[in-house]
Amino acid sequence: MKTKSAIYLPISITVVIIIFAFALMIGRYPITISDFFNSIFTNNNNYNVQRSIIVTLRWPRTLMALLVGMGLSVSGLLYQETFRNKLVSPDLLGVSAGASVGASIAIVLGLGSVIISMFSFVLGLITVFITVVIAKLFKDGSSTILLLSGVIVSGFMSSVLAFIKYFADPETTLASITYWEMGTFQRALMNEVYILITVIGVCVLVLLSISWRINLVALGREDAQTKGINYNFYRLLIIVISTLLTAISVCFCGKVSWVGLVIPHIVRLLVGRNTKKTIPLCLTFGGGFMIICDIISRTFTDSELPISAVTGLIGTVVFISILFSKRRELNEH
Amino acid sequence: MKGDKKEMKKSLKIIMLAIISLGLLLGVSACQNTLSEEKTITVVDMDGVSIEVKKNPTKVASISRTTYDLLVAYGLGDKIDGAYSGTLNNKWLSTIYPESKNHYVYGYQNSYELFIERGVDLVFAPERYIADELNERGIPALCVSLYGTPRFDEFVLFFSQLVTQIWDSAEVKRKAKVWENRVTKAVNEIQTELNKHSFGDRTLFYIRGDKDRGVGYTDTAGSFTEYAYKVLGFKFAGSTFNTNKPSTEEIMALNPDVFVAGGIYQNKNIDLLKTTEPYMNLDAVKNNRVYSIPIGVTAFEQLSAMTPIFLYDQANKIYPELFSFDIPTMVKETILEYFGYQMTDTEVEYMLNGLAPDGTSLIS
Repeated sequence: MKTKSAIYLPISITVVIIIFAFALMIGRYPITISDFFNSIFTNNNNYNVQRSIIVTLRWPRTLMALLVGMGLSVSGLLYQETFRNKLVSPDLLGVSAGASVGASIAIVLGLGSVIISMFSFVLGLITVFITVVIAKLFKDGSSTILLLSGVIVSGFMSSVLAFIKYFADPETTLASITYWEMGTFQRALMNEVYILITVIGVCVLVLLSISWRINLVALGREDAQTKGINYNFYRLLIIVISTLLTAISVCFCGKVSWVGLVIPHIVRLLVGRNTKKTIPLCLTFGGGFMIICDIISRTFTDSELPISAVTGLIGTVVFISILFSKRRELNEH
Repeated sequence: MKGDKKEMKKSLKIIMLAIISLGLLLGVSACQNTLSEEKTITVVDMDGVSIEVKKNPTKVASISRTTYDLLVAYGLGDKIDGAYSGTLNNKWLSTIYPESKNHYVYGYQNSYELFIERGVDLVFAPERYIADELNERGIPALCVSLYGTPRFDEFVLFFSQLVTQIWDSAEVKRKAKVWENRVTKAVNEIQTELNKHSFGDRTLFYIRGDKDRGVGYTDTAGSFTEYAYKVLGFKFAGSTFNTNKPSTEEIMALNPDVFVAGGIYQNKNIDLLKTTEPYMNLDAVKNNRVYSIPIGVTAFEQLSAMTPIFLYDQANKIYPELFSFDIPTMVKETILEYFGYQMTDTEVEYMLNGLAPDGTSLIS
């Protein structure tokens, strides 16, 4: 198991690099391997169109897919470990529902894409804040109350979203809201990628530096406190970082379902629960998985498929295959 | 004695009930007689469905965008109760036809009770299911779609002819005939000239700018735009996609020979094409073959009173070496004739450039 888990990381990194390179070559616009190398490594004007497609379209969106996949997978893993519940996904505390409300308000107001992302990000964080405040009102530090208030606030935000959709223009804004909710990397810009790299980079560095503490928090309050760590502080820190990762991911590309739930499970099936191993693997598996989904969403049809639809389909197949291949180990547990 | 009184009361109750029931029956049958006395006509809508509608309706809900402008042009503006918000929310319409402000602003899908409450006697619905649902609830509705199945070719004169069946007016019939003749003439004139030349296979990409969806938003097979640009000698790119939102890479791979941009976002989209990667690398953009479509009471690329001028204007722009129609004069004369509004030269210029009557952007 130990040897196996040690080789997963370098192999997955290599695979992600290969998938990333493929993503730059594959799409509706046919680019041969020689065209690809000529457009990237030469200044030949005959390859201006190909260069433009790779640099302005595929490069930012593939980077964004990689980063969003990383962010949501790690976020999902952290939520599942912190709440000690394997059915938890990153939008548990209402961040996705809040982000959807923020984006839809901005869409209805006719604001630009930058403001839509900002509204989405801010409303996502505000929603989680409301969830935490409601949980505090019960003066009960248990995870159950926090989960329950997350469900309540998410439900409320879903209702608000339903109202906004009801009053939105069916021919214009309603379609935009619906499309945003389904997620896409079509609008990815390098400026947004830089923001994502910074936020996700800092969050991941912090997480890696406290990974052994995350393991203790995952054991529960009593065990964690007997090991001498400040349980409440670290639990809050992990929740804040996870929320930040989710909010920053969905604000640029819309809601992306399934990834944050499935990837951590797959990773745990392979290497167990130690976050020192699961966090790096969630980064590579999540990033690679999301790039594959993005390639599928933009390559086989005239218009782009919503990313959530693709992640749902592919995620189900991959997850069932892995569960099936690991059925013996699962039965032993 | 007491028993007799009871019996009498019982009899009186029965008599009263009988009188009330009779009254109600008479009332209902009187109403039915009134309805059946109204003159009706059975017409066939765009999907070939026969619907019985009132002859000469006086309260029409014009939800289908392609119907409002022609009704006004044929002098039936006072028969319109209201129209779709997208139609009425147009600065050109309120300038050229100020009476439009009196028309009720309908949504795309409306409550059935709203039509009944407003006493609407005919609805021009944009989609089959909307028309069906209204008819099932006793509200006469005809489907006048923006798309023809399989192509729009046979439906270009459809609505005009439908109007002359529904409204029994010599003036409406005359105006309709004039418009139909003008459309036919424009099509024949352009096709006759183009047939003298050989251009080979060329593809045209139409950017639909009525919504802010960027360059990759177009019309599909069966649209009037597909028909119009087929008349102008092009293969319509939208017909080759199975969506009206092709991806940027799809457009790049297609590399169309010509781009045309319409709607209120046309200038924004043309700017986007000319100044952003990767679009600026397309042959049509590099060769300056990107053209705008004027926008007036409705967008010109929508079947309307301006359809003949739309065809002439695009012929002028795409084939400057073959055609030189006097578009400003045509616009002035047509607007005056159909809407009674005398346009200034500046207004005509703004209209042809996709701007608002005051020269500002049409994007509010």
